[in-house]
Amino acid sequence: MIHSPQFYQQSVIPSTVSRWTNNFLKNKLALSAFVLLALIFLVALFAPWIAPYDPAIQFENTKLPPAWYDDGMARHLLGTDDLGRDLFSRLVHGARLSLKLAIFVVVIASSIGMLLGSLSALSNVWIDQIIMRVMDLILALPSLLLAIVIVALIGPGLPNAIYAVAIVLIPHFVLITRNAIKAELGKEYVTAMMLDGATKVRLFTHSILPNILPSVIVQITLAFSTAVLEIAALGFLGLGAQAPYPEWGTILSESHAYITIAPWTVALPGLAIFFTLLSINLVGEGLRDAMELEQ
Amino acid sequence: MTSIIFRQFLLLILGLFTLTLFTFGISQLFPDPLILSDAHAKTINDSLIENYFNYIAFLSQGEWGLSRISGRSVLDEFFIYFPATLELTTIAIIFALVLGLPLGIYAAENKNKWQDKLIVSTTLIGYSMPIFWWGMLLVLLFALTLGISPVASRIGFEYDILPVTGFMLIDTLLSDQPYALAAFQNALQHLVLPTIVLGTIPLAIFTRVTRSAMIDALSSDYIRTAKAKGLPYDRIIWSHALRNAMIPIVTVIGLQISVLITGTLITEKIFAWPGIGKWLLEAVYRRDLVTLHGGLLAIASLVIIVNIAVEVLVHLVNPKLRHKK
Amino acid sequence: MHLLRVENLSVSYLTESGEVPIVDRMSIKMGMGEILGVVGESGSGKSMMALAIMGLLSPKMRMRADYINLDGEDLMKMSVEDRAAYVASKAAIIFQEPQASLNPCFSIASQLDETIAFHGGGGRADRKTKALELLDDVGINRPDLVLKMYPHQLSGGMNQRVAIAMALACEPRLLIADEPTTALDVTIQSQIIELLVKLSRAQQSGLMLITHDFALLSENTDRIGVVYSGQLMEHAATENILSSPHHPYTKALLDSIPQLGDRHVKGSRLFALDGNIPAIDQLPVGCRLGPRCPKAERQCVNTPELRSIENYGKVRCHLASVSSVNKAEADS
Repeated sequence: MIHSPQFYQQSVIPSTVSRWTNNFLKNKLALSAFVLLALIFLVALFAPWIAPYDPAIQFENTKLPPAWYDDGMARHLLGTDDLGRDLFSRLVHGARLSLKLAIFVVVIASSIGMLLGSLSALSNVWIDQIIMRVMDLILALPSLLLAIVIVALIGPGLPNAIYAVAIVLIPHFVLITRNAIKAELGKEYVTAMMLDGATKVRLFTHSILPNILPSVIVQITLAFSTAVLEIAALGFLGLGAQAPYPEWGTILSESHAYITIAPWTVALPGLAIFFTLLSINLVGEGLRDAMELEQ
Repeated sequence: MTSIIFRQFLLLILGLFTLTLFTFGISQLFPDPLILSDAHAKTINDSLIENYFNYIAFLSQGEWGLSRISGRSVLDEFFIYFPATLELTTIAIIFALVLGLPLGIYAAENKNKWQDKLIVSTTLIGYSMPIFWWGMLLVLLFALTLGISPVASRIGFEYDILPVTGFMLIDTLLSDQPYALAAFQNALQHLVLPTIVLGTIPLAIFTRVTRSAMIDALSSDYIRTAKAKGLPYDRIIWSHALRNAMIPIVTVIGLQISVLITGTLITEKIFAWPGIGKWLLEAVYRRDLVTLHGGLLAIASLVIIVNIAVEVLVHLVNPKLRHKK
Repeated sequence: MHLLRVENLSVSYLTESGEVPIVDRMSIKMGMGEILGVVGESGSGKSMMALAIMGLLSPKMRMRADYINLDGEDLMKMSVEDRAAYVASKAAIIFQEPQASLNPCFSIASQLDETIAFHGGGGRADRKTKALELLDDVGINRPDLVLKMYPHQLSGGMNQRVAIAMALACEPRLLIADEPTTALDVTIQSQIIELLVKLSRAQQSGLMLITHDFALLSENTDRIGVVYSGQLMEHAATENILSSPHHPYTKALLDSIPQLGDRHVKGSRLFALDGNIPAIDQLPVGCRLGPRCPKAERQCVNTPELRSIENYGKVRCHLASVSSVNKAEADS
């Protein structure tokens, strides 16, 4: 365009991150899911201030229906459970507990997984093979079954359940990191960087990391939703958080017996789990689309 | 082709080997030693390697130990509970396939139209459904409120069916009782809710995978060629596109085995279904490590075998892999 | 009697912010058994034109035309189904990527057999004989072996031959070859082009050869259409275009072909136009070549129309009427 005057429209090429952000902001469904998820996080963060009562306090009115029913009471917005505990307070504290545990699980699983994955991709064949066979084995075991066996061996209870869920989530991170690194190392621009004398650290931070980041971010959202679900499932089976804890799955398991007398004690905690999972999955989906990853 | 089967067979052996190493490791690490039988107890000594080979020897002879709860052989118990689970999971996967494939194809044909958007968002809802809650909701609505479905178990207690195959649908038909047909219907009714609960997540996954695989196939050059040749629309969809889409779909079907077993544990608890899930949960609650060990070993072997079988199938449906040396 | 007459064919792409035109009022004529070359840069819309004629545009594309007359019938007056059936019976197309345009999951035998069965049919044995004949016609040495194979087991050149055989199975009056050799090795390129020309001459069927490589067209075509930025710039007999191109763009294209052997002038440099083909949403005012044209004048900000020039053909350029570009060049 050297000889032509610059009165034609000029195009500005946005950076990768701003393109992703724009893509994500354009997706109305993902955006509203993100807002919902943010709200759930806020509720979890400020649970002690939002919840009107202590989740363990028992009131005289047991199995009180939510406030919008004729026999409901305004001071118990979502009613009370079979022991007279305020359901709203329990659910709010449950959000805090569930999200806290899930975040913890994902942090452990992703850091161990990425570490093992990098190790597997960058070290010799034998270490790679050993790591991969172990991951294959964990993948072959149905996740909840493995969690159950682990819990059975080291005993039921919250911390053990957490480790079990974390172990189950590790292989996906290992696979993603390993495959992405291997794929990147085979590409010509990486060879070009090596020929230019780039150090290993620079190679890792400038070529490999930016390229595996999108898949890792998506995997983190997936793992987060799996973690919330599995923790609740273990709670439901009586192997995770134990009875007085206001964990969502545990609450469901307790109220299972009162499903005909107090259906709201089943419906509401489930709804909380469902909306949390749905918003995480929608955000994950939106991120995957925004970052132009293949399904 | 033979080289592929040989390779997959080696992978199968390798998989089972890692699995037994894992279960053996567990039995060594925990203070409660795993003793499969009296004869096994006598062979236990200080050498780990020798112990491992003895362990394998006893496992392969079918000595998987005695249940701490019932005192019966764990392997025998597994085969008593397994048919109920197999029946439920098979029907659930058929349910998911029969609904999921056409839905996925329909969504792909109408890509980005409202039908597609509706299907995609419904699958996302199904995918996000905690199945223990979903099961309770269905029971509350269809069994307890409307009363049009049984609440739990495989068949009404008024029917006395002799277990021959262990599959209720077959056993009711084999039964020489006068109410055989009524019992069959009753067993079918009992299957409906558990099938829906167990099949929801696979259904959501199949629909999504079919949709994206079909969209990929339909946008490819060879479909353009097929259209240019003037082939009828149905033939393009059901022969040319679906044949190619089957490659990712078969892979994903294989991956569902694990998901289904996880779902079985929960579904069987909700519906008091006398299968593997209920059996294992009972073992966990009563810390019966012998039963758990056997259950884990049996189910994991099963998953590994199915995965290998699916891998062979994937090679069969994909000519590119089939001809690779 | 024309084999193909296209009048004012426009194709546009539907986006969230409206329609983006890709092909702008293209008019093309082809006689019976004529070989027409269509040349243009990638992205100029030449392939879209071909897909539009064949009715193979993706759902995100819209096409309009006054008429598309193929072997005596107007495609625009037919229903979608009728049109697809009619086009399939009269025309066939082969694409750029031979590997991708054959279905990877079916053997060559089943893909050829399906096509033969759909066009004419015959018994199982007849179809097999026909398939072997077709493969032989396109110069495949061991048709019986190739028949059993899958596309991924064959080379690009072989796959393109199979694709041509499959197109011939439709017994087309018009064969469109959309960049048929771009993905192939140079040595195979001329073989494929020669094969296409030979088959077209032998069967008296029309051949539309779409390419970005002028050199491929010069020896093989009867007429040439030059496409730039979605518009037909020049449409004339091959010898006219080669000897005295009227449009500056055509001239630029011709001057960018390296001359080898006797015709090579030592120290001469190849000609290149400045700049790039404009993005379709950033078209210049007036002539679309305007900002890049070495001859551009004040009047070029007015949109030029395709005009007939006596004893030559059609040209879309204001300057062409005054004097031929070549003359102007010679005078200076």
